[in-house]
Amino acid sequence: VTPCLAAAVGSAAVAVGLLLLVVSMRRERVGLRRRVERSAEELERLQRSFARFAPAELVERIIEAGVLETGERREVTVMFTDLRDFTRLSEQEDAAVLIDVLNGYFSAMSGVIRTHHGHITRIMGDGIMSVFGVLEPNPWHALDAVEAAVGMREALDRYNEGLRGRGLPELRFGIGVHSGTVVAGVVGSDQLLEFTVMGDVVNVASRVEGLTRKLGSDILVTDEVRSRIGDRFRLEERKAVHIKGKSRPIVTWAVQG
Amino acid sequence: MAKLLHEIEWSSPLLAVPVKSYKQELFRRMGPWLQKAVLSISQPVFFSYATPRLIGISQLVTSQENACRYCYGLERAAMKMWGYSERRIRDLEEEAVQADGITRRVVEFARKLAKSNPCPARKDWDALLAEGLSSQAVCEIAACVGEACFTNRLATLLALPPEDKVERLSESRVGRLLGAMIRKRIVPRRAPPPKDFRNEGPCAGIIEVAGNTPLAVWLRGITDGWLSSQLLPRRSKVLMLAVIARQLGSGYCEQEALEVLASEGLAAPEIDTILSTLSSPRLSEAERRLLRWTRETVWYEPRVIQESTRRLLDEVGEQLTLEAVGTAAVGNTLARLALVKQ
Repeated sequence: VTPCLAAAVGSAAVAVGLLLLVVSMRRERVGLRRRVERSAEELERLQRSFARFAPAELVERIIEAGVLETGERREVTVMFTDLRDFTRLSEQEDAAVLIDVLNGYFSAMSGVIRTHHGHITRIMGDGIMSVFGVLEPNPWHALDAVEAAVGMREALDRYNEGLRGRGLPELRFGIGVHSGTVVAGVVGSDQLLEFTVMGDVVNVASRVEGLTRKLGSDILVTDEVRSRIGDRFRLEERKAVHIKGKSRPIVTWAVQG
Repeated sequence: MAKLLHEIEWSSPLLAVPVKSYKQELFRRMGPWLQKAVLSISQPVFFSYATPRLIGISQLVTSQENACRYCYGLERAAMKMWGYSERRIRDLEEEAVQADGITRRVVEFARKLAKSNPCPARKDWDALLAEGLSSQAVCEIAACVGEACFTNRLATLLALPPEDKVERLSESRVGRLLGAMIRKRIVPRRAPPPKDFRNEGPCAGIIEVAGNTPLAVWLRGITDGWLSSQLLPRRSKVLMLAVIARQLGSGYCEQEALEVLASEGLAAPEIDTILSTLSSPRLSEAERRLLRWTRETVWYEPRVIQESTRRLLDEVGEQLTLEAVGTAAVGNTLARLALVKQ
């Protein structure tokens, strides 16, 4: 009887041991799954926060393939937007009001830019640099940029109505648009990375924006843009002017609508 | 990065029709060719060369890549009823790292073709051959992705309400048991290769990509039905195809479209102007509106394109919108398949 009892007790002990092992493994698995889920949630949260600092599509592209880390040559349209007389305004208004006005303006403008397939690549003080056709192939990048510029003009009018209602001074901007080939990529150090586009096109777009006040128009486009948009817009030729870094004067066109 | 099912934002149905009868009512309002197409995609996919597993996987990842909440949910449910565990499905959705070589290659190829940014390259096709698939099987997988792109666009642009009941059923044991019983109705079905299939007519060069498969016959039928429909002028439809081709950089497809447009009396410089600016004095207001909407159907966020389609409906009316949705579905399928030839 004793050996039988011992065998039975032994078997039972083994069975209990196995059961405990299974239970502990299952617990461990559940714990692991919870940790994985928590990490995924954390990653998602980080991604959402990051998306507010950089275009969501760009974040995706970088995570997905890291294509832009190596740099790519792209045919794009670059648009520079700058608020006029904002420095003076910033000296007169309360800091909190100023930031509120500026954020409202950026929000209104970025919505229009996104609707027209553009991506804001940089905000510099009160200036916005946006690029069309950089993250996905876009044969209509110039068209989109000019439509965005016209849309921004309308959006600014609406925004100014609100400012007037609050007794605040209206905003005015200048927009310069130019098309050509740029190098697009992520640059910087491990401390600070930035997605940007580089090349002559960027400089010219910026200089053209600088001409808006001198040439009396809020939206100016170059010949390179004009040749890509057909007769969709009413354009008015402005006199050729020299810009820094160019040996020949450039012709620009004021976009009427 | 492809979204997971719960991440997809989906609008309310396009037409103001009770949700319960939405699909029937939509069907009733469609043109005959589109009705025929809808009936054909309501059946399981017929295949001759690939395996049902690879066909099912191609459909799942294409629907995921296209963020089609309706199809993706259904494909997921079908796979569960078919016996796939949640873990295996999640693996396919998240880059198929655990999958075997051939499955991984098919997932990569299907994703690339569905997204087409960047375009699939010859090496992606060759990778499938290197895994031991026959060239006809690869054609079949490409065509299957094309068919899923067609179905995804119809479902997304029309904002079909997700099949919650079927999705819930697949989560239960009863559902999985039922799935085993109705296997034939949900699993891709093997069929003999078509005999005497004649791929003749517009876009034959593109349809060639689908090989001599049942899906090639389907695609030929859809293309012919679409082109012969009178609800939207042939010129408008082919211009829409050309816009999709231009957006995708699908030169081969654009060339095929230009040949059809030339036979419609549009001169090459004029076509070029239209494609460069999406505008021309020769286009009607409705055509201009359709072309601008069409480019949005290549890559999109579902909610955004659904809102855009709703605006189109307000502007050009129901009949033209439904035809345009069908055209976008065919156009995106043809232009993507043509990329394989480049």
